[in-house]
Amino acid sequence: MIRKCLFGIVCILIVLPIVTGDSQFFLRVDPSGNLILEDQSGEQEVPTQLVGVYNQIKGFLKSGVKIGNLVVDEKGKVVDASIDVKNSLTLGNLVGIKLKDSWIIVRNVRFEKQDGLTKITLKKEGSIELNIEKVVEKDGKEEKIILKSLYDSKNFDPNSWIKLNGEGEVLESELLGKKIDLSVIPEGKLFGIKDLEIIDGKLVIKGNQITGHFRAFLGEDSIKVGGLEKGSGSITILNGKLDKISSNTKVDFNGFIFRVKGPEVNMYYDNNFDYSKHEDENYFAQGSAKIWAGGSGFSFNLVEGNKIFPEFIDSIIIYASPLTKKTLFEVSVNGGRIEINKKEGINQEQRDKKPIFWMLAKLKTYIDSGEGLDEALKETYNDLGKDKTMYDFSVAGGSEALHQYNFWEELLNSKVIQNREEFESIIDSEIKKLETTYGKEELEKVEEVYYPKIKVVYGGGGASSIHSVLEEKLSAEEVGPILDSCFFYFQLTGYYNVMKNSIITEEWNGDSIRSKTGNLLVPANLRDLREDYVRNNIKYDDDYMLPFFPLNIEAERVGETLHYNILGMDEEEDEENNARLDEEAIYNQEKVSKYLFGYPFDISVEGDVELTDGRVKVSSSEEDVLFSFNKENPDLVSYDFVLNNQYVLDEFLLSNKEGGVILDVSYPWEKTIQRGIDVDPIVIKNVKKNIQEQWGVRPRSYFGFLNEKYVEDDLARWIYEASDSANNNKYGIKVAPSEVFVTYMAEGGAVVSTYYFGHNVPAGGYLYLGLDTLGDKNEQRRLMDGRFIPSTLRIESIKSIMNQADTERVTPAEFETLRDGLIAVAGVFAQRKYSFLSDFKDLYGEEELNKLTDDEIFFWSSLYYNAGESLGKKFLKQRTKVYFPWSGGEPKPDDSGGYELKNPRLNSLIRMTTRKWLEDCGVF
Amino acid sequence: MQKRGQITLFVIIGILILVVVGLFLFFRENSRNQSDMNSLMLEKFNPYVKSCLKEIGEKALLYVTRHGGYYKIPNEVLKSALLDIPYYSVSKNKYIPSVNRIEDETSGYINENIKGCLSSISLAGNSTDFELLAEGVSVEIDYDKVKLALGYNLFINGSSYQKFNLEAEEFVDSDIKDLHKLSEDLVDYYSKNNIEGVCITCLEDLSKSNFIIEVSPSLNLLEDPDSLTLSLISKRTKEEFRFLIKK
Repeated sequence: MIRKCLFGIVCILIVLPIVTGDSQFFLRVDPSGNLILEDQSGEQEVPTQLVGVYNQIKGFLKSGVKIGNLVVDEKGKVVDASIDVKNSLTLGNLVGIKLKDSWIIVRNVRFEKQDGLTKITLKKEGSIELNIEKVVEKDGKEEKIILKSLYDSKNFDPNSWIKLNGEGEVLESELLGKKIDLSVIPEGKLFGIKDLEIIDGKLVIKGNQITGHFRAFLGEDSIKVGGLEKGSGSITILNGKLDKISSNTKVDFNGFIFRVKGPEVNMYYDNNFDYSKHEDENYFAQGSAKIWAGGSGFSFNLVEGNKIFPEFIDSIIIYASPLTKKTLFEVSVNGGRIEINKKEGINQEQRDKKPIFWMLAKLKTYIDSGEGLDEALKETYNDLGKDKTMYDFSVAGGSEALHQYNFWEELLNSKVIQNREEFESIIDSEIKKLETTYGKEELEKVEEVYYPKIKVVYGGGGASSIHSVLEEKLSAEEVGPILDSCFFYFQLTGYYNVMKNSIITEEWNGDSIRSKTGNLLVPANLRDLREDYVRNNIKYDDDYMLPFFPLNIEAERVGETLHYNILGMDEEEDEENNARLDEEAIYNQEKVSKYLFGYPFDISVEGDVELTDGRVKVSSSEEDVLFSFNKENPDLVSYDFVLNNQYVLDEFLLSNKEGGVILDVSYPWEKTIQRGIDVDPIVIKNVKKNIQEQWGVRPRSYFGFLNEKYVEDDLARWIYEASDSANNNKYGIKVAPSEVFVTYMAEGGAVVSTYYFGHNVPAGGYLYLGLDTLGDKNEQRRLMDGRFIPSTLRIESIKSIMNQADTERVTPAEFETLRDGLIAVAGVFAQRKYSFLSDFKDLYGEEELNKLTDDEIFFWSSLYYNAGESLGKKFLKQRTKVYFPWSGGEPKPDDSGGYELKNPRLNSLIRMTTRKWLEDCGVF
Repeated sequence: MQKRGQITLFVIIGILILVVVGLFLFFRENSRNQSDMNSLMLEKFNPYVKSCLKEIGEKALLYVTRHGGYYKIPNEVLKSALLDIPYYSVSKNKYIPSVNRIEDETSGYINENIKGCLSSISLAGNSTDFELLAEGVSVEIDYDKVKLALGYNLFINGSSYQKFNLEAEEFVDSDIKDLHKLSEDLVDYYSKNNIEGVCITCLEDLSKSNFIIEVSPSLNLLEDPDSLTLSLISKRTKEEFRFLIKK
């Protein structure tokens, strides 16, 4: 007590002269470890600032801290210091007098200060924790933030150091051990240090700033690091390069995304990487046109922006820009190795055959009747492919579309359009012809009469035709500008009604067409828009579907700004308040595309490598190649490659280089699409001719519905799945996918192709599935009892209406999705087949039954499906008068397509020959 | 008496000889006429019939090869109902049809399908009312080719009704015998070796330069996920020999 009082008195005596005079005090520690207060001015008053430091240092000394050197000036500012810290100390104020001591906490470090800069060096089991408070201006207001960083022995080797200025900012550092631990990430978020630079192998922190992501700049490369499953991840940087990726780390680097679950992965940068020297480690090596990877427990994705493979695109525009699908290129390395070689000579044009443009076309219509809908769909949405005409699709009508198609064929077929002027002159001359014929004024009065240019503008068929016609004649580079001109031209020349009952208007603002009250601007390739269009716009009202267009779109070219506002869609707004469609909302039922667009490289694989996608060239080594199919995850094809030859994997086709052995792991529906693509048009033509000659009816061309990857994959898959579902029936009746497909198409799928509006759109049993009676609960029960349709199938009944032949009241079924609808079609077809076969056996006996051909079975089953079982049986009793070739030519379709409804024999012959056509051409 | 008897005997013998010679000459003439007519008819109709035989024969071979050697797969043969392809091997038991069986199946196809083609034959500039009916088909499968023979009847309704029994022969390029042999080798291979999956390099040993072996583990996926569909394709004739294997 007495001591304390004496000390207090001494202090007061010391402080007084400092306060009052021009004194100079210093605190220093002598070589013996004694704390000495020097008064160079001879004043007795110790400055108050120094008192706190004095006490602090005293405390340090008491706790065993070794102070080799310390000079503190009269303001409490450390001028010179050399302190070895063992225990945990707070000494922020020693770094800068504006800092609170608690802002810097150190343990087992060497603290040195000279010339105003503090160097803190880690020792074994040392740590430096910075919690520097700063005031920053945000949105015009001052805001206090805390800059946190941690340097400890978990992440850095001893002798790593940081150098701080008086503000607590890290100016310089040498962080040995090359590890940046992100374990400080609070709650799994990435902690970031901005402005990191690697200079001569040292990580130099130029300043601290909290950001949302950890981002270090490695020369021109960028890197993002995170932990797997919200944990922390770590990487090693050496000589300015990513050197190692530790376990449980996810790294986005140089157009690759790495996920390392197993042991750390060593990174190499070498054009002549010799993998054989790295077989005992996990490695990923990059050359200028090649990568190597080997080991186990890690995977990598190739992503867009990759410097080695700049051609790679990881998002493909599927339906309408910017609706994109992510392609997946992922390689998981599990005990094998993989090499990816860039292929020479692949350029953008070769790689990318997707449309380089689209034009705007406009549909200005509001349809208020079932008939209207029918017309609109027929006229507007049927695509015209090379192997088909509108007549093939349409039961009735179609003349406008056909005319439109012919118009463009006629107009462009014999000419190669070189420039916009030439194109315009053709259009103008056509307009003049019409005007001469009808008179300009008269022409404008009639709403349903079109200008030639209207036909282009409104119709998908027309616009697609231009595209395809041009593409046949010109290169992609040439087509683009011309079609740009077209677009511009059409914009200038305005827009036209397609149908009557138009109630929606739009305005032209000089630059682009803008919808005013929600009309639809239809891209040239209408498939681009079908998905979201119907999904969101087809609504139900009584028995009719009423399409309306709450859709605002402005679009010019793919890749340019596209403003969406589709009701009912999940949206995100970007900074410019442009609505972006939530991709998942559209594709929530779909898996990520299995396809890699463009094949800019080959891949060599050896050992256990799971390759999700890509084109693979396999080379080298010793024993047998064994393929095993991964049943648990059929999307993942697993190869066990130990090879002594060269192989090529093109999508799902693995072959040896001579092509003598092919392993095809594509699904049946993928094969169907591929065969639809590959089938020779001459074969199609010849087969059709033969069938037509033999049976006297014209088989319908449905090839175009199964020949487009990405777009028609789902349809093909559902057809197969539907067939599979129906084949679960308890009577052992088998239905082939081709039977389901043709039935669906012939019942209306080919005309009312709502599939192309949206893969998951509702399906009307009455309108285009031919399921006029399945809405009836008793009928459903009958089919479910026979396991023709699964008991879990969701069937909605709509109120009873007159059937399409207008002969009786029926209760049609509706389905939430086309997939469900197809399952029902297949089930009902299987049941009708069963019914037919039973009747046939009763009428003609088993021996005759066994002689039935596939064609005849399909014919009769179709007839039973189309006309009903009881009528079918009546026909069957006169078998030979019904199942024989048609003669006298098909009746011309009337406006309602009536003949098809009224003549089940003809219908069934058409279906039978259509299926035969598809089968004989090998599509199924 | 004896003399008279001898004379009578000689007369009888003479008459007999005359009758025999006369009959011989009569029948020989008749036969010559018939043979000439047949030749004439053959010359007239055979090119058309041969063309039919070739057309239907080629179709038959394409069909039969695509269906594992069968035109109509009998009930006792295990098959994929959807693909209409037989299993050649199930649990290492082999069910491969013989070449003779494939010949029968091919002739079955031709028999049932040639009628339409024959009935479509018309002779240019000739209003003769005739009918061609197939009587029987024989098929002989050989390396590189298949010999087809069709026995048929020609009925001519003119001033008098005439019937001719004729025969047409035709050869069709086909590698069906090689494909069949290759299918046996493959089935043998799979029966003898306990392979889980598809051994690409092993198949390579079996493949020959003129053929493609295509294995599709998933073609029959919906019906039978444990089966492999094998397609043996001749590069020369484009014939595709398809069958299933199940472990």
